[in-house]
Amino acid sequence: MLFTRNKADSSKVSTIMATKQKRYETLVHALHGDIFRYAYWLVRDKSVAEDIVQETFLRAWRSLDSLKDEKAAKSWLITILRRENARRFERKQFDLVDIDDVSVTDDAPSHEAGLADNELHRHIASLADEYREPLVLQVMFGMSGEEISAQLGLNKNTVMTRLFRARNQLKDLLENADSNNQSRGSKNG
Amino acid sequence: MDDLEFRRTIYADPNSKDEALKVAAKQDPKKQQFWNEVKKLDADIKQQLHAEVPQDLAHRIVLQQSLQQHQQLKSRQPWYVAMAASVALMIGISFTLLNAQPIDLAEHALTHVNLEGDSALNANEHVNLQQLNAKLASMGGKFDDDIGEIYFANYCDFDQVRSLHVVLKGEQGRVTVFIVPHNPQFALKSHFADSRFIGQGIDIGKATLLVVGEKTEPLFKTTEKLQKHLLFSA
Repeated sequence: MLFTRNKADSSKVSTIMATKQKRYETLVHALHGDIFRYAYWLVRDKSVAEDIVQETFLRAWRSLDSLKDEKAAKSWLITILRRENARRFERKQFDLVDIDDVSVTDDAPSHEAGLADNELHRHIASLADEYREPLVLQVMFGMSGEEISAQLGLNKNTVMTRLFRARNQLKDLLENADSNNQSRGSKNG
Repeated sequence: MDDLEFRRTIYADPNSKDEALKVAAKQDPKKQQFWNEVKKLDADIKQQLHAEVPQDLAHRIVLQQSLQQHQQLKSRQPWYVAMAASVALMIGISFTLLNAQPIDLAEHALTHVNLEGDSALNANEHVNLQQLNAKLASMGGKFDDDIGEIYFANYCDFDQVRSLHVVLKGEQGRVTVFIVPHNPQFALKSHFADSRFIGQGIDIGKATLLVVGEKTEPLFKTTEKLQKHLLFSA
């Protein structure tokens, strides 16, 4: 009696596990691209972004049961990702090293290969995080002002102001660059 | 709607469906032009945001999860696995302890002769002294003089110790001799017997000599002879 019940239980458990695994893999395949791009714009470094995405999906696996609605999956993953990124900074604070012991490199995104060739890309990367993040959510994921404010835990007016400033800065940066080019051109001529 | 508010609203959301915006844009071509510019900018931004995703990222994510899953399953062994492991350990320890008990050479010698039966006792291989000494050499020993007829001489496994099993011509019948390299675990009796055989054990330093014969056999004569002629190199 005891054994038959155990057997039934364990087969039920493995069925649940298989279902969970399938659900997880579907989620990974559907959303890893978006989540990676979001991570990339959050940290502006591909390998760091990849680490964070790996960690994000591992955490997602552990708490997959708490995701009730697949439609909320993307914002759920973004929430995990942002928390994961914040953790990275907490860790970093303890990783104090003697500056003489390490080679100091300028790892600003503008120096990353393939990035520098596009001006707009560079300007987006140079925006303050608080401006860039809502912009990415809006343009890349098509989120509304309400959705962004829910995602970032900000009030909607703050979000709209930041979006305005983000585009305003980009436009200014592009126009400045244009006028610089023009003045250089006239000097040359 | 004034120009500033129009610009602010469009900058905040170029895809706004606000009716007031549409009306304002319709009335003022400059506003419409501004809106178009911002939409163009947004299209450019969207293109730039579309970073390339590393190949195989999805597979690597799933792989890492599977590995971790496996790790967790391994660490969550059920109680009976731990139980089995500790039982196995106990058996291992007891086995080692039991094995450390002294080995009764007399008992082994008698058992060996009885079990081997007549195959060695009735052998007639006519081993000469040279051949016997060649076998003894691996133990560092040799006989310096003839010890009579040798019917059989071969290595055998004496409780996992390689030893030399020899059958000699005794005073009356055949005598079995075991030459066993010394081992501190061995317990030696000088005289022993069972229903058919009697035996003598002598410690000769580097080796132990066990001599077994029929009950009627005057073993001491063979033993004396062996002791006298068996020499071990330092």
